[in-house]
Amino acid sequence: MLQYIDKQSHRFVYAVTGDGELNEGNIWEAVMFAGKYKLSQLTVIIDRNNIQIDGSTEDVMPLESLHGKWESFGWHVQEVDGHNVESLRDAINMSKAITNQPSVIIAHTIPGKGVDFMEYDYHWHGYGKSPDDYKRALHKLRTLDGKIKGEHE
Amino acid sequence: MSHYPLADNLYADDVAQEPTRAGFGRGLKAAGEADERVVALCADLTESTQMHLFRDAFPERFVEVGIAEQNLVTVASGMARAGKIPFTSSYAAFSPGRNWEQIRTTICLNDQPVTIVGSHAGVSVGPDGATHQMLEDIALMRVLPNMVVIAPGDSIEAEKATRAIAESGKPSYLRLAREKTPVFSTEHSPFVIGKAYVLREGHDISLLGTGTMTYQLLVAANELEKHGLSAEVVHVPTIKPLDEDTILHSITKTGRVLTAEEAQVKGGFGGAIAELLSERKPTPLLRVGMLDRFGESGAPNELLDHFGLTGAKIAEKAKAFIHTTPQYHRDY
Repeated sequence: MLQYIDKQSHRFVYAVTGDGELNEGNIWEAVMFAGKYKLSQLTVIIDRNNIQIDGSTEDVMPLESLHGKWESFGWHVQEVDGHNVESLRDAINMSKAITNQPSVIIAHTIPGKGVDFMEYDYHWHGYGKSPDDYKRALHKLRTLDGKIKGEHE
Repeated sequence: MSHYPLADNLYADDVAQEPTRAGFGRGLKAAGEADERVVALCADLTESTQMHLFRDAFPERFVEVGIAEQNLVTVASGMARAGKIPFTSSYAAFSPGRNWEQIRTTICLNDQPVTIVGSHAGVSVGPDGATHQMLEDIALMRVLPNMVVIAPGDSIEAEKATRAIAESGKPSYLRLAREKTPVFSTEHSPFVIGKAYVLREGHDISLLGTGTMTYQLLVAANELEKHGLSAEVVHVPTIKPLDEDTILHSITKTGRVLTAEEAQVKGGFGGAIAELLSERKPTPLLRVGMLDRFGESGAPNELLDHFGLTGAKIAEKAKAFIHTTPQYHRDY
């Protein structure tokens, strides 16, 4: 809000959210607010992994069309592959060039990516099962699932 | 002698343990079997609040509202107005933490039989830390007209409390914990909403406990006995309405009071007892609980010890209190 009150123009504010938490009314109060005041220095990055604790986001409380929702609240919307750092960087740079709207980047991701027994499974959202699962998962990530030798070995 | 049946091997290391939320899960399913008006609503925490037992048994009477606590209780209020008996569940930090106004206006003002189930209350939720350790819920719910406030002592009592609430027709708050805690009551122990129970008789001090802290008071009383001190333990699962008669009867005998809760003392259970004593029977009072501060991240037992909420720590405090404070009370 300092952008609006103090006319500050070189501060960028980034907020990272999950997708499940977009169920909360509080989120949409803020989305509506930032749209009204054209807080263009605000960029929200959504980790769109399609899961929350009780299941798929679209089963628990459908969010789609997520793009359409944010757009209709006056936001500049970009969608990127959330696993691609370069495309994420490009989108963030692009958001800095948008000067009359707040920006949202919907970063599409695969939950548990790189750990085959976790990928796409909502059960891992809230619960670490055991120290052994943790070790197995980390091993898979550090060795690219056995393709390379990890430093930890 | 107290006539309250206590579990065997209460003070042994292998005393049976179970989280209070497990008792709630069983109680809700049983309440659903007994009365088809019972419905359940959850905010994306169905398994951790143990509501999945009801959901799996009665899928057509279960509503997933997503992470939206204000809507959770408002929808429930409307369902109650239409003749249902709704139970709503989330973590206490979020419900009643985020939706107090909706509880006040749509449930309490209209005196609707909606139950707010606040699970994972207290510091013992552990590593999640201060954001998730709900400590202000007793104060928040106790101040609302029409609201009944219950913190069961163990899983068996939580099951009985759930059944009793479903039949009560009143707005209710049920405070539950995440962690396993000792089961000190038995299937034969009494539970009636609004009643307090003397678990152990004594004459030097009344130890009043609510929720799972009552077990710690039993341990404290056992410890005090080794030092020649006789503590009376009174379990107060219903914080509102308070069983004033049972509490005042105990205090008349002992002339000293200690309260224990895993919540903010100010406005909490300790606050309720302070109000009662100051109006009816001024008596020296020591309140144990969270003293106007937030929790921290840590292992549950580590935190209970850190904040002085274990039987051993409470016994030390009670001992010092007994030695420095004359037995005193005065009727008004």
